[in-house]
Amino acid sequence: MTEKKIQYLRPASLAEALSLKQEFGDRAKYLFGGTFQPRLEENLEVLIDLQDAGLDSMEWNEIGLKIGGMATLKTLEETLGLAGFGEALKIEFGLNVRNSLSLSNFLAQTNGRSPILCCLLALETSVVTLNKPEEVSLLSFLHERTGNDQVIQILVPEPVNFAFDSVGRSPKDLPIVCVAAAQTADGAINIAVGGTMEVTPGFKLHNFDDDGQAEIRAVFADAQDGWASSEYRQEVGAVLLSRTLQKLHLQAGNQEAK
Amino acid sequence: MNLTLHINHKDYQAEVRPEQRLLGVLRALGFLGAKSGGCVKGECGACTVLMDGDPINSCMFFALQAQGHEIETIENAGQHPQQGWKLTDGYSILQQTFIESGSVQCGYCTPAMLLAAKSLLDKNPDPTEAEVRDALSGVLCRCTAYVKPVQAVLAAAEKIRALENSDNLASSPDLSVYEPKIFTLDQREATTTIGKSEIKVDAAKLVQGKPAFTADWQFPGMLYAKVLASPYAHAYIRNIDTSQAKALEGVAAVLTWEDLPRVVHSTAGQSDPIPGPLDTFSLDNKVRFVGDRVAMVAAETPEIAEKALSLIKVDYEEVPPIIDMREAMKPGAPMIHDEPEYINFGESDPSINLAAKIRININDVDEGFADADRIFEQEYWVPKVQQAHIEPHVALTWWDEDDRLVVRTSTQVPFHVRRMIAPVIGLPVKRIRVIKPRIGGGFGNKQEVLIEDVAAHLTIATGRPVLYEMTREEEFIASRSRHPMHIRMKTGVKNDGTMTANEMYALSDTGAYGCHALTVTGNTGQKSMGLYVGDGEYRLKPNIRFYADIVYTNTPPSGAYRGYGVPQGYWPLDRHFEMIARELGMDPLEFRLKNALRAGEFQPFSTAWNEGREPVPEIVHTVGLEECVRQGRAAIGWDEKFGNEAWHTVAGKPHLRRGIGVATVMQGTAIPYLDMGGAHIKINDDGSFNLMVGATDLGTGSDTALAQIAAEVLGVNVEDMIVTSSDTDTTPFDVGAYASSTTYISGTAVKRAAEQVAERIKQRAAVIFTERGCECTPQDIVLRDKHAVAPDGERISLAEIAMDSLHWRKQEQIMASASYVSPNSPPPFAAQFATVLVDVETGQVTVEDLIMAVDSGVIINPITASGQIEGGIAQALGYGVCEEMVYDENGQPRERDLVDYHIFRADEMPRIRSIFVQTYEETGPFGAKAVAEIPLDGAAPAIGNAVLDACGASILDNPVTPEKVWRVLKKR
Repeated sequence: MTEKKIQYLRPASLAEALSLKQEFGDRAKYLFGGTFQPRLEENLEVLIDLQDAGLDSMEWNEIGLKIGGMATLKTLEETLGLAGFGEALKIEFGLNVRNSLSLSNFLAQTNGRSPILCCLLALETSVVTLNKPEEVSLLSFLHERTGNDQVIQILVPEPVNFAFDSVGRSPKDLPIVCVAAAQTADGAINIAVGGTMEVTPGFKLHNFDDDGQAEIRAVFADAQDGWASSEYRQEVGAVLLSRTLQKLHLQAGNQEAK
Repeated sequence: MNLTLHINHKDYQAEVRPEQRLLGVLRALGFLGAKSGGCVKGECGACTVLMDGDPINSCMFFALQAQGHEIETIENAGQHPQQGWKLTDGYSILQQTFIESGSVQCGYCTPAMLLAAKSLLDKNPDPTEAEVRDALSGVLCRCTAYVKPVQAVLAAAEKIRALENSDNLASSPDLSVYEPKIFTLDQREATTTIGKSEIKVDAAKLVQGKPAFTADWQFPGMLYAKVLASPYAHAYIRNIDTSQAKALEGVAAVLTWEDLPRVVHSTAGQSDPIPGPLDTFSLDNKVRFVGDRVAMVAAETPEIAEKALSLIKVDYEEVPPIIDMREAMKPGAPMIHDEPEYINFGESDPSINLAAKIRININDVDEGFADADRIFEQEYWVPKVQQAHIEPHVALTWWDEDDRLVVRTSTQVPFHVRRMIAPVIGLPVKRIRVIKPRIGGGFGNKQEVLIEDVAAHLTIATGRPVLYEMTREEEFIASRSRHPMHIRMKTGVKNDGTMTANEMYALSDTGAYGCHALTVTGNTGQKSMGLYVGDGEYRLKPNIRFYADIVYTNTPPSGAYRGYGVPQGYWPLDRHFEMIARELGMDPLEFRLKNALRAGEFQPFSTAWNEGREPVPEIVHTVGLEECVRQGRAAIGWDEKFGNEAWHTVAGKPHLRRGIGVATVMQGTAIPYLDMGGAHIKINDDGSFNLMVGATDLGTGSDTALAQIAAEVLGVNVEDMIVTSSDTDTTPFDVGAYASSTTYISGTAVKRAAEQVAERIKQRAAVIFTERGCECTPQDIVLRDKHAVAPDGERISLAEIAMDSLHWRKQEQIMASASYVSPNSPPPFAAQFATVLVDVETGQVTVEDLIMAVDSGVIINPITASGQIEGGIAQALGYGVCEEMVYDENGQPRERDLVDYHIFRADEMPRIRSIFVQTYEETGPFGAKAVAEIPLDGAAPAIGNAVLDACGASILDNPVTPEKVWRVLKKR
C-alpha cells in the first residue's frame, strides 16, 4: 500500500543510480530485478530500477567470470558452463525462476539449504555490493548481509575442475546434504557443504591425498534440524565428499590424458 | 502512476499502484490466462508469461519493471477458428496437441505450460524429451504427471518441423499415440463414442486461458478478503481490538467472533445428516491450531486488507496444545472442544478428544487367529499430506438484483455448499445460488465448505462483492489434508499362505476439527482390509477386525483427499503382506491373489459398515485383479527382474541396487444408497442437446464422460452435447465430485435421461416415417449419426425432428430428467508395480518406473481415464517418497510453501504407464466403474516393497526418505 505518489526511475549507469540514491536517501529504494514476493515499504518516494544500469554484464578475465548482480541465474548457468553447477541450479529452481530471479536478489534471500550457494562457496566466489566497492568473499557477505545492501557484481574464479553431489527426497527436492568441490590451479580443493539452514563454512584440502573425512564430519557435527540428523549428515556428507573427489580425480585424469 | 506495457505486440496504458505486480496488472487488463497459485517463492509458475521470449513468473516483478519489455500471454495464441462470420487462424499447433493429447485436465496451469513450451519451440524446434521437461520445470502441475503435456510438446515440435519442411500434415490427428493400452476381458455392447478418446469438452477454452475460473470474474467495487490466522496452536481469545484496522483507509469491514451469530456446524461437504460432530464456528473465541481463524477483513485492495490484519490487536491466553495424536486421549490431556454448543455424532466424545470411534468385527477374528500357523504383527505410520491443487481455494460472493446471495466458488460440492452455509450466514437455501465454474484442481480439499462463509459474511457486512482467495501458505496452515495415522496390523496365516484372520487398529488424527473424521478412517479399513478375505473356507467367512479411534489434536484439520483414507490403509496392509509373503517364502503376487476377493463374493465390510449409515451386504460381480496382475507383471518385466540378482546390481556402481515391488489395491465406486445425481436433457432446434448436470467436473473430464454417455444414447457426436454443470439454480441436484461417484452415479442419471429423450425422439420419428410411407414403430428405430434411422434405411435428421417438435406441429419440448442412487458400490481393482534405484550408502531412493494396471470396468474415454491414472500415480509417488507435513512441539508447521513441501516437477518424473483391464460392470453406465481415486492407493507401498527388494530395508513409516533407509541399512 502506497499512499504517496512515487517516482519511478531507470538510471542508465551505476553512477547515476548512486547519485539518485544519494539525493533521495531512505526515501528511495533500488529494484534489483526479479525477486520473490516483491514488496514496497511504506513512505517510499522513489524507485530506482537498476535494469538499465549496466549491471547485467559478463566478462571473463584471467581469474574467472565477472557477472553483474542484475544478471539472472539462467545467465550465470549458461555463462559459467559448469556441469555440476547447472545440476545444482536445476535442483533448486525450475526454469521460470532461473529466468526471473536476479543474482543479487538470490544472494539477498538465500540460505544454507541452497545447492547453488554451496557451489558458489566452493568456487570461492567474491562479491561487490552497492555500498562497498571492494570485493569481499561471498561467505563474509552472507554473514554480514543486512538487507540494506545488495550485490552488484559477483566474481567466480574459474576452477580447474568442479564437482557437485547431493542427496534429497526426490531428484529435484532441496538437498538434505550436498557437497561441492572445486579444484584450483595450485591443486588445492575447496569444499563447501549445504543442506542446513545456516550457511556452514567449508574447508580446503591441499590435494587429492587429503580425504577430508574428518573435516566434513566436523562441519556437520551440529547440523541437526527438522530435515535430517547431524549423524546422517556427517556420514552421508563423508560419502558425498568421497564421490565428489572421485569425480574431480576423474576430470583431472581426463585432462592429463588430453 | 501511468505506465505502458507492450503486450502481445500492442501497447497498453494502465494506471497502476507502484506495488502492483505484473501478474495483477495483466489480469486487471484482461489477460486472465496468467493465474495465481498463491505462492511467494515462484514455485508454482501458474503466473507464467513470456518476457522477451523467455518464460518468467509474473508474480516476481512489479509491473513497472516490465515497461520496455515484450510481454506475451496466452491470449496471443490461437483461438476458435470460426467466430461467426469471422474466420481466424484457429488454435496454435501447441494448443491443438494439448487438446488432442488430453494434456488439459483442470487447465489451471495449461496456459503456463503452453507458453513455456512455445518459448522452447521458438528457439529449438527439435528438442529432446529432457529439454521439454526442463522447459516445463518451472510450472507445477498436480493433475497430469506431465506425461501428456510432454508428449504434446514433442508432437507439436514434430508438426512444426513438418510444416517448415512443407511435409503434408495428416488431416486428422492420430490420437493413438496418446492412448493407453487396453486389455478387454469383457465388453458387451458395440459403441460409437463410449470407449473413444473424445476431446474434453472444456479443453478449448482452457488452452486459450479464457476466464473460466472463479477469480477470473471481477466486479466493479469488489472487495478483497483476508483472514487473520492464529499464531498459537491452542488459545483462548480474551480480547480483540480492531479499532486501528477499521480506521485504515480502504477497509470496508473487520469481523470477529463477537460480530457473527454463533452457529455450530461442520465443514465436511457431505449429505445430510453430516456423519460427524458439529464443532466449528465461522469465528470463535478459541483457536485450535496455528492458522485457525481469528478475524476477517474486507478492503479495497489485497494490500490494504493485509495491512489491516497487522493492525488487529489480539490478547491470547495460551492453553497447552496436543500435537502428538498419541497424547490426545491420555488422562489429563487438555480438552480441545470445550464449547457447550458441540454436537456429538455417534461415539464422539470431546471430553477425551475423541471425534469418532469405529469398531467393526466381521465373523470371528479370535478363532481365525487360533487357526493360524503363524501370526505377524507390526506397527506402521502414515503422514499428513496436502492436496496441493494449484488453484487455491477461492470464492466470490455478491448480492444479485433479487437480493439473493450468489456464491461463485471453486468447490467440488456446490449443492452441499448451498445447504450448509445457509444456517451459518442466516439465509434460507432459496436465497442462495452457488455456481461452480472450472476448478483448478481440488483432490478432495474442495469437498470442504471451507471459505464460502468468509466471503459471504463480508458481503453481508458490506453489501459489496467480496473475493476471498487463499494464499499458498493458507492452503498449508488452514485448509485440509490427509489424515495421518498410527496403524497396528495383526495377521494370521497358514503355512500355505491362507490368511485366517486380519486385524487393523488405526489411531487417526483429525486435527482440530472433526470434519470427515469417521468416514475417512472408516474407508481406511473398509477398502483396504476388504480386499483380502483369505482362501478356501475363509472366503465364505472371512475373519476381519477393524478398530479405529479418531482423535482431535491442535494441528490443522484433516479432511478429504483423493483416495479418502484408503491410501492410509494400503501402506500398512500391503507392506505387511509383503513381509508375510517373504517370511513364508511365497511369491508376493501369488500370496496376494490367493487371499484376494473374487467375483461373486461379498465385499466383507458391506456386511458391517457404511459411512455412518446402515450397512447393506453387497456382492462384488466384477474383479479384474488377476488380469491386472498379469498385464502389469508383463509390462514391468517382473519375471525377468524379481529374484534376478544380476538385474538388481548396477555395473561399476556397487553402492546402487535396483528393486522391484508391487501392491494390489481396491477402491469403491460411490457410496451406496446415498450418493445421488440428477441430469436433465433437452433438444435444440438444430438437433443439438443441452445436458444439465449437478455433477462437478474438477478437471477430471467428467463433463466429457457424461456427454459421451448421452451422445452414445442419442446417436450424436459429443460436440452436439452442450454441457452445463453445477449451478444450483439451473442444474439438477448432485452430491458433487467425491467418492469416485460421478461417472457411475451421475452417468447413470444421464443415461436414463438420455434414454427417455431418445424414446420420445423415436416416437415422433415413427410418426413421420409412417406418414412418409415407411411404416414402423419407435422400437424399430435407431438413433445414429444425428439421425433417426428406420429399418429400411430411411433417415430423418434430429434437426428435422427438433424443428418438427419445437415449431411445426404438436409442439413440445423434447426433454427429460432423471436421477440415480445406487444400491451398489462396485470396486475397481488395480495392480501397481514399481522399480527403484537405491543408493545404499546414502539411502537415496530414485523411483524409475511405475506401472498401474487397472480394472475400472469399461473405460468411457481412454485418454482422460489414463490422465486420471497418471496424475494420481504422481500424487501417490510424492506420498511414497517426499510429501509430509511436520509440526514442532508448539504446533508450528515446517511446510508453508511448495518449496519445503515438494511436489514432483516435470524434470524429475519417473516413467509412468497405465494399462486398463476392461471388465463389464452390469450396474454401471455402459459397464463403467470408477477410476479417479484408485491410483492413489498402491504406488507408495509398491515403492516401499521395491526398496525392500533392492536392499533389504523394510521401511515402516511412510514416506521412504533417505535417512530412514540409511538408518535401517546401518542397523543391519
